[in-house]
Amino acid sequence: MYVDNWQTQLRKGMLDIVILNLLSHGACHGYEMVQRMRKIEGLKIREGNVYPILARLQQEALVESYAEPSADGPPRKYFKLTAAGVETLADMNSHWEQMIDSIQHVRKGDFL
Amino acid sequence: MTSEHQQWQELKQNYLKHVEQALASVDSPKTAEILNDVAAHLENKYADLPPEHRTWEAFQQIITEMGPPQEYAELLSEDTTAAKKAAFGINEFLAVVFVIVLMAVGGYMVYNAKKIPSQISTEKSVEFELDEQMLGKWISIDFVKMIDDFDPAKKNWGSSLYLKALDFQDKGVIWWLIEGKKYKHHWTKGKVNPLSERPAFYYLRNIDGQTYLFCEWISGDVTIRGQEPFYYVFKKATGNETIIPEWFENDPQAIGDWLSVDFVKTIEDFNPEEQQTAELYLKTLRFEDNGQLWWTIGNSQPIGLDWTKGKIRPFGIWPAAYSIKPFNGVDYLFYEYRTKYSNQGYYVFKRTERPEQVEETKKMPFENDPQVLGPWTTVDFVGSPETFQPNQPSWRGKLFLKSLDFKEEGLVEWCLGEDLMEINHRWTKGRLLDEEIDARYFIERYDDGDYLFMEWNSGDVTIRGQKPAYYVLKKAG
Repeated sequence: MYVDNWQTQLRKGMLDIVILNLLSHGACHGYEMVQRMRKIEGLKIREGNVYPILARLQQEALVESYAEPSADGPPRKYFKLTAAGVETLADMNSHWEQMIDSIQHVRKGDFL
Repeated sequence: MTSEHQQWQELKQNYLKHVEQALASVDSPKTAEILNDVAAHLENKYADLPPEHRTWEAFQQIITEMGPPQEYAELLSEDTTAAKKAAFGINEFLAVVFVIVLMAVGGYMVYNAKKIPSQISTEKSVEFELDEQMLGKWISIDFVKMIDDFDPAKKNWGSSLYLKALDFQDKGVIWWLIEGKKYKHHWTKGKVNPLSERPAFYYLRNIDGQTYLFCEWISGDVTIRGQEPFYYVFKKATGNETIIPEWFENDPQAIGDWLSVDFVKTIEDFNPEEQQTAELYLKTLRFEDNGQLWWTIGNSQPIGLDWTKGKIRPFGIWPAAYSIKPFNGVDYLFYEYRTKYSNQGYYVFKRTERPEQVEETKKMPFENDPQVLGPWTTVDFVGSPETFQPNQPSWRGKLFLKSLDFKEEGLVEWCLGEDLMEINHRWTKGRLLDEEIDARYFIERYDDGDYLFMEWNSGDVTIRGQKPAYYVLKKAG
């Protein structure tokens, strides 16, 4: 139970960096983003979760949206990183790598 | 519109309504945009379903995979919290200010309680005009597009009702009961939420000698898309009785909890000695004696449906039949799993022991426990009581149960969730119990005071037979 809860919290906490990294590979619409994330082991998120996070990231001006015509329906809403988003993501990735590194050190007992 | 598409639309709108309700608790300009994005996502999911797989169960699965509506609010509001912390760093101060404001408002309300009419205390105020015939609890029985669509003998809304009851109280307070939670709103004669930009107007109608309340449901379809509101239909509760819908025919044999054990092509194919070992999609069914059925799919929260004797979802587009047959002296329930066009097979369920436990707890007399009386505040959640250390809480997440307040007359007030909703249940010495609850508690003395350990009987315990975890609470004051 503890591990389940921890994994849920961890997944939720990581969603921002995951979404920003996905967008760093190019603009994407929400539905496509969820389909991609579902294919990645360990990132099985609840599909609705991406939308409030995308809304927050837009409020922070890290992400912006635009509409593009779609061949099979109404125009699709795409999301892409802003310049501030690219810069912030670089900081976040750097911090993430540092965290992984630190946890590895703790696991190996390097600090002892 | 095809029937399956109509059913999909119904489920989709219901889910969006729940999401909208959850997002209403967050102060963000993005809520309408999120609702539109989620609606578009759901439409994509529907479009991706091959026509032969467009079943009611597949639609439920899509909704389940979207996640609980409350998570939208949690994920959206993280930013607000962070921003407040960064900008002020004085949450404690704000909390104190909030308490002072609450006390001031409380004092003002007590002062004004002697005056009639009283004022609804909010930033804007409105004269409260009492409508005495409304006072008390009203139980929802249907949801209709127009008042004239209502027929007491036939339920109009194919799914379970989201808003369960309204409790009109004097001095302008009204409680909404939604899926076991209570939400405080305001009312005055003729309308609910009179201060909102679009109040919900209510009307009473006498149909065949019975009074029914019709209250507008103000969703985003009304406030954002400019559509006409639907109406919840209510019947007055005269006590604590359960309102039985007129269309409901009880089947005492079905009442209680059932656990899925197999899936077979025909009922004749079932052999109790050779049951399914693979994981089954439908997990549990709970039949209640008021036409309410709860089922669980995977690890999802229970989903509410209607039932009547021999039928599940009797007013859905594809009602499903169930039947109960004994095999070697044991009852098995066969639920017809069908699409619009054909029967796909039968889920087989076996009764679980829970209903007997419920009956037993209902009969338990109240025995006082002076040691437990009064308020307790939750401090931890542990896998087993032995692991608890008073100065080192092990639970890092939010604690869902906030407090318990044990009253002398056998009632205990639970305070739950971030919105601090309050629910009353029964207790007796060593047990917290009610129709849905049977948890043991005990008190241990540590160096810094008494701690109460309460079993937390989630589905892992009641259905999968695992050991319970424990909430740990400290005596307040």
